[in-house]
Amino acid sequence: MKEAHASRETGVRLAAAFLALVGVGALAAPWLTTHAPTAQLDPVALAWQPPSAAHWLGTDSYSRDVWSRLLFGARATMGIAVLAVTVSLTFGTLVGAVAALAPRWLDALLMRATDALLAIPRLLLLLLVVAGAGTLEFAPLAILLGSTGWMMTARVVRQDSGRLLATPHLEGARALGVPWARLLTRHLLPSLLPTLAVAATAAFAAAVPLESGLSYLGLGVRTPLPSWGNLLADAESQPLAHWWVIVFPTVMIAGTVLAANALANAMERQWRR
Amino acid sequence: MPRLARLRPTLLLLLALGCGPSDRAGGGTVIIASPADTETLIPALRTTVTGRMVTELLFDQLIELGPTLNPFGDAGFEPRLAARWSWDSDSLALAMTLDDDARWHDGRPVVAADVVTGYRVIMDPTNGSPIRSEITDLDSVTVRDERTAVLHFKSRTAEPFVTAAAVVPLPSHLIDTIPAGALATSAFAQQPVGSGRYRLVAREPKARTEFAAVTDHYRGRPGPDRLALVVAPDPATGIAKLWAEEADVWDNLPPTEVAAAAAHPQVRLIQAAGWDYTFIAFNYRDPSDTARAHPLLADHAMRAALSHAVDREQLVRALFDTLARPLLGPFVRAQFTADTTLAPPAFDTTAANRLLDSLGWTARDRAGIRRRGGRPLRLRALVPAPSANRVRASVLVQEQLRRVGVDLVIEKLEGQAFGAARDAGTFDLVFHGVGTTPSVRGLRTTWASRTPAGNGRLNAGNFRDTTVDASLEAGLTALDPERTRTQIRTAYRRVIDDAAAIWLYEPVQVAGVHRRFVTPAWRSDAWWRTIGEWRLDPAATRLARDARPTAP
Amino acid sequence: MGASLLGRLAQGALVVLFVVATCFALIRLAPGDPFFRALDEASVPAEVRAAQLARFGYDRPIPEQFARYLGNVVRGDLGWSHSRGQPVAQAIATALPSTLLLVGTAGLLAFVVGVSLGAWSGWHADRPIARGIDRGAMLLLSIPDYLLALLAVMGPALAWGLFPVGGARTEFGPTGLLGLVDRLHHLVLPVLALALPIAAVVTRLQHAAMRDVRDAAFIRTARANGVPERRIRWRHALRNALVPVLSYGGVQVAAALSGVVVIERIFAWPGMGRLLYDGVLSRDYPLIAGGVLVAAIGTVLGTMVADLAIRWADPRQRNA
Repeated sequence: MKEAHASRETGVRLAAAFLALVGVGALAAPWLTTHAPTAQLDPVALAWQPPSAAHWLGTDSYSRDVWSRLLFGARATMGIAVLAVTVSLTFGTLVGAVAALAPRWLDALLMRATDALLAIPRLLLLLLVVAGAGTLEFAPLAILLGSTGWMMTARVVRQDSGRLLATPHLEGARALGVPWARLLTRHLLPSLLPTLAVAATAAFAAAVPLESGLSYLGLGVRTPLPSWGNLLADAESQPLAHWWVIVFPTVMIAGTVLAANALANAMERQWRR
Repeated sequence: MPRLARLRPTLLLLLALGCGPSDRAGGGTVIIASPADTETLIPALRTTVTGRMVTELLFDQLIELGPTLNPFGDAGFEPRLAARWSWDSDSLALAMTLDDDARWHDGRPVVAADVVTGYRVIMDPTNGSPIRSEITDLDSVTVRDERTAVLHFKSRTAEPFVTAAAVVPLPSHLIDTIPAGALATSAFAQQPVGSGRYRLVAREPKARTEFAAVTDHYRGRPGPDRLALVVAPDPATGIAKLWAEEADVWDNLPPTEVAAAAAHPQVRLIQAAGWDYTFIAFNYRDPSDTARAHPLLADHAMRAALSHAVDREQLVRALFDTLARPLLGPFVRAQFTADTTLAPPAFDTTAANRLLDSLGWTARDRAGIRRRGGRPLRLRALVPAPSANRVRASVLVQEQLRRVGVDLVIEKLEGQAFGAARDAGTFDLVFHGVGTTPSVRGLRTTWASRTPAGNGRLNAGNFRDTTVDASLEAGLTALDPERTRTQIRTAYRRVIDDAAAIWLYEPVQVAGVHRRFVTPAWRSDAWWRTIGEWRLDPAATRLARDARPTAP
Repeated sequence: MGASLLGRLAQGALVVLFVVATCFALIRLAPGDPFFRALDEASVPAEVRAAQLARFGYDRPIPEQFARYLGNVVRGDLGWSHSRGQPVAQAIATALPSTLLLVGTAGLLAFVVGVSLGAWSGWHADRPIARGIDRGAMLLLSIPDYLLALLAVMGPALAWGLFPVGGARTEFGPTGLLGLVDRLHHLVLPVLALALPIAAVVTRLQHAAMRDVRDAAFIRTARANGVPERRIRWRHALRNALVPVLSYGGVQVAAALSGVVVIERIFAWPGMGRLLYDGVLSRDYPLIAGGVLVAAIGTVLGTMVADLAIRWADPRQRNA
């Protein structure tokens, strides 16, 4: 048991270190790179260069340095993902928890509205909105991703809250006439944390590839701004031949998601104690 | 045991085909993979290249442009449903005599009334035919006798036979009973009865369309027994079907795939002249108020500066390697009227910088973008997201313009949003693609001044020049091909001299075809027209799908 | 019970109405129209297009169009698909079965694999293998679905030749029993590409829920009461831990449709995902409305089934 504890501690430290490194890398990108992320060095001679001393992670189809794009891309990707997750998590938790505590009619209304929005395939909704609105700027794109992703959280939170409210502890609190706002913030939300931690990492893990998926469908972050998503989309036609354009962003996305998950688990354990 | 029984006839057939001296080297099944499906099965309603292919397989034209690709006069045309033709003495009426053996797929003979029906379907505005605005030189079509239809022209033009080819006969015995406006939603539109060398067997829109050879066709039995158009919406995996022998043709391979073809020896690559070209059109009008001239781009010096700033040679190499050439002007080199002596502004950043300086854009911000009166030199470019080439070109051009201090903002839009913004004129630059044909009448849609008659409909930048209008009219009505060429070239030169666009690229077509088929000379403008002449190579191994279909 | 079921059905109908109305309006507000056609071919003059729009009533106010549409739907007429040149009902009749096959197989596979892996790894959450499973699922989720599908095509299908590259069956291929084998062969890669991300989410949810339940009071009580360990694990723990997964399962129908859009495009699979995607791109108003109608009914039914399943799994909510 002690051993498991120790390895967990190391895991958490590793995760924190990774996230910190990504953060520092993104902020200090101008000093850590030798090329501007949008600079095309020589689109004829230097496109699709595999990793070398001159270009640590190779170059993409426009002869742009993948290492610079990876570091600068962290800004866009992390920014969009964090903003989108914040929007979706806040809204989803609020709707789900309020529905659980609210009178029956409001509960039904909120949950059916959630069902209704869920019944529209997300990609279709995004397509429809983007078709109408054209190329989106950074913040609207993040908010759009967030506001089309909260329904799942709301449903899971509503279900979990229903389960929690049925426990003797919370049933008692309710019977004692604890006001619902207090019930929500003091009793319900803390108990929901394990669910939310999983939901948040899942939402984060979904937001990053979704941004890439939008790039694949020809939408997404405005060129020539780098993002992990449009880095991946660039290798679409020959994914095996240009592995370095796929492997490095995927490693970054996966590493970030895993680290965020490890931290969330650690926090959850702290709260439990 | 039942499995073996099922396999045996196939095996025997394969053995027979492989060993015995077959009576003819035809047969086989051709699977055409394509990212797009046809939008219609009626010739008068087609708007896309795939639409042309499918409707031309199903329906024969009166006459067809032959391999010389010369659209002027009738020297370049070959008989199809019309066996002979002759001008009346007034030189305005063209009598078309139908082939005695021409039959509809239901066995009825093709008659002169069918030509009238074909014309009527195009002209009926409730059908919304795009061909209507292309045959404005035609006045009417009448029946002289059972087998002779007469095309009455308003005036003589340079390409009367292009018009005649566009009036595709339709079976009057099936069409004339369909009420006005109901053709597109009729049963005929889903199960058409055609006159071509292939008839429709089955169709599942956006997935597959199956054709069978018409064995008693008046032009002879075509080679391949069966064709199928299979839609693969993602080009990367669609082309993978060709590599995996699941498909036999992909008619337009991108350069990266051409490079990958070496790993798939069963596929033969065929190069042919290209008919598509891409340019960046400047908007002459103010995007925020289309009644006014564009504040920056109405100035010739600004357009010239931007033209000088784009390294087209590098762009073409980066996008296509050797499989495209820089565009010379509003034409492709394969066209009869092409003028290879014309030269668009050369890549010259010194000249570009000098021009921009002279226009007062001398200050620079921290990113190196030019400023004048506190405002950055920023231009918005429309780019269609579905066109991978244009999206990639826009990223390269953006960087090239940045080097001379111009900030190009790329508005990448999905197809219809792109078209709507282009037609509304709410942009500074537009990455424009044109699919042209041997006929030069299409120039009227792209470069003539906009008129209510429909000229200049694709003239997105609202370019207006009376010399160009006059030259195009003179060229399209001249009776001597040389005179047409001179006039059209005058129009080309005017458009180029005005720096109306940055002429980007003209790709070469590279088709991939399964090696077991021996194909005749590849028609660059319409490769499917010779598919009836495809033959299975006797020396090559057949695939399971080549087994001759058993009669039902 | 009957009354509450009727109530749920009425609510469901309202949901469907809302969804169809939203998409009905959004697609009409987007630039373009059903007669705009291809990218560079504006060869249909504007006035001809205007006449076509008027013929199908697309020039009327949107609420009026919607009222007419509902009237037609009630009479069983879903309208005409302009981009496919066939009745919408016919288009859906060919697309729906092939998508149901794809989603049904993938969903079943994802839930069986996800629940078993998640339940086992959640119960043994302290073992390194269990944590590895959880992290593996996380890793899988970080790969965009289109990339996963593309790699499946380029590797197992093209490079190793184990599976067909695309389509639902071999063109002019075998019929009968061999035809069935051929169809299953075509189904493998798209199902895997669709099922893997869903299985990953299910695994993670089931893992987390099982880990929580493991330490819950009622499990300890059961154990103290001498209930056999196997019975505790399968009867008490798993049943309770299924709640979040089931809650997720119902709504997964809609999410799966998003995945289906990408998978069907890459594998050239003729189904509802492509129908909706093509419909949006070609502004085929009746096709979108019909497709969304079917998708919404599917999702509503999915959530209702999930809610029923949750009541079964979590007795405390039966009276809630």
